[in-house]
Amino acid sequence: MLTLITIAATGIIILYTTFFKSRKLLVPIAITGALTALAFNISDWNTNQLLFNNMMKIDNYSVAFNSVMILSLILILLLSHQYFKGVDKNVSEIYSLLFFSFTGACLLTSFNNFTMLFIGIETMSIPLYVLAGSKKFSIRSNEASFKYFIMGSFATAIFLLGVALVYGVTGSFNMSEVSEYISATAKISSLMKLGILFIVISIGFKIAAAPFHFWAPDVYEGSPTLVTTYMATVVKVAGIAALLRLLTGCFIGAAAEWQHILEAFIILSFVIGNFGAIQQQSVKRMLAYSSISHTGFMLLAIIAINQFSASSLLYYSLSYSLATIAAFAVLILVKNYKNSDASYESFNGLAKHNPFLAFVMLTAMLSMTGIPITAGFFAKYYVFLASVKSGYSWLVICAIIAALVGVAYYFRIIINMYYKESNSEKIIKDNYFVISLIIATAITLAVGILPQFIIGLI
Amino acid sequence: MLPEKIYSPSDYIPIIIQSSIVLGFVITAMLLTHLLGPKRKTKQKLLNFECGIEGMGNARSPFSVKYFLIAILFVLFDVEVIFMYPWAVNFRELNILGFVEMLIFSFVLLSGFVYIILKRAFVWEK
Repeated sequence: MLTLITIAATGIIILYTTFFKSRKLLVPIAITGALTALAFNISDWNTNQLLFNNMMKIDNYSVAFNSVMILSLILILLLSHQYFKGVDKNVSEIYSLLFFSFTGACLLTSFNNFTMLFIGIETMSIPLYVLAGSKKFSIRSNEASFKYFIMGSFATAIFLLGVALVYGVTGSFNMSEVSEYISATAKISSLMKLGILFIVISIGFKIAAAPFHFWAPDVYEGSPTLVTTYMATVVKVAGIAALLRLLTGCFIGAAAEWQHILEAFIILSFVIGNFGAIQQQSVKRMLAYSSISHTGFMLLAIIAINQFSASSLLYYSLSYSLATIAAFAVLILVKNYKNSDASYESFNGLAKHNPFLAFVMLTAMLSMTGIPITAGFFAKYYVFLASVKSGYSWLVICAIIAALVGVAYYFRIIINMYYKESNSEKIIKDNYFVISLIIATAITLAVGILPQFIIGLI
Repeated sequence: MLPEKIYSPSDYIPIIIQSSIVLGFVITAMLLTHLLGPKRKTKQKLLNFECGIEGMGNARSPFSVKYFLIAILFVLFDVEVIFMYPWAVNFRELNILGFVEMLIFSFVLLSGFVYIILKRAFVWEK
């Protein structure tokens, strides 16, 4: 509760800093707000509160996912100082929109009612439509904003239709009441099945799971890179956490119905994500496709729906967020320095003059591939373990093949960085940026070596 | 939970009767005026009517985006105010707690309004 208030209040405070012409204070204020929210969030550990007439439920699950998201937010804010250096108009608005959007993301992890879920999705998405177009005079950015808005509105409409159908059958928006209704009735009515299908599809839109991924590459590529980082990490983690909460808390009795939908999501995400990523020439677009493939891995934890689901999903979200932020951060630097379209070639010879950046990128790529001692290995391991326990061995075999295909495009960057020559120089980066990179890499390695800290939490 | 009384489709017959009467009235009235009324088409009669002022030019000509800005801000704050009506109806039941919550809501709303004014969104010529 206090977490939410802090995040929203920080957003309003930042909105007003635009009148004080104090650009230097912007990032410290934002980070102080985020850290306060993190502290309030952690103080909710083990409290299990039901708020607003059972509309919201704060439990360890929501606290854990909120913490991962706030950590991602802090890392992104640290990157932002250098990123917005050349921009002098409307920067504080971008920060406050980030915070407003984050309010919705926090709602998504702790809802206990369909109304709250809907408000969370909308509060998260509407600022994002603006953020995607925040590079006002870039055509690609405008296109991204427009595309995201149109697709997002359709997804919302489909979501509302699904909720209406579920409400029509059960007569309640409350998750536990819907859950009770499902377990009390012997045969699930076809209206209910249709409702579940619509709701799962619309959340699939938000987390960019194939076959509802078509907006993702264009939007990720067109948006300002920092916003893309936010979309690929916080928004995706919030959406997937909401999906697991919804399916365990509400539709667990109808598992046989939605597991088939998720099977299709997973297989298509693997195929489209990986084979899309191989074809790309731009690293930013490759990361967009790879995030689709990572969605497939995360859905693997959800489809298992056993006691390992939540913890393995948490671990995967953490490792994925850290690796994505690190990769995008290096991409921002390389792209700005070369003033290029972020092709693979712009990474040539990075290791020679910028060994630190190359090392950060190396860890991120290894973590995304799933090589041991980085967090990505255990992330994949626990996700596989969870789904094998529920008898999804065939999906795990597909996932392993997908992970192997992933090597092709992740290692291409590593080869370019370490084994190719180019006449690049040292790239300048400010202190905030370095701190963010160090934190992301350090946690990736630490969590990779000692996974039991995260895995035992929930 | 299902509602206690379960309605069967036959309970909705009055609605069907009413909607058919409404539709039937509209259709017959429109048809009758078309068939019975005299038709005298003059240039004046076929002109677009707007506030008694004679139409001129093309309606699709571009005009300043500031009009849109004012219109969208009006819609925004107009919609927010709707939230006050249910509160006013339940003023007694909600008591002091409802009043404080409404103060908080008004504060958040006003902070947005002040932001707009400080951003000079209503200044016509900057």
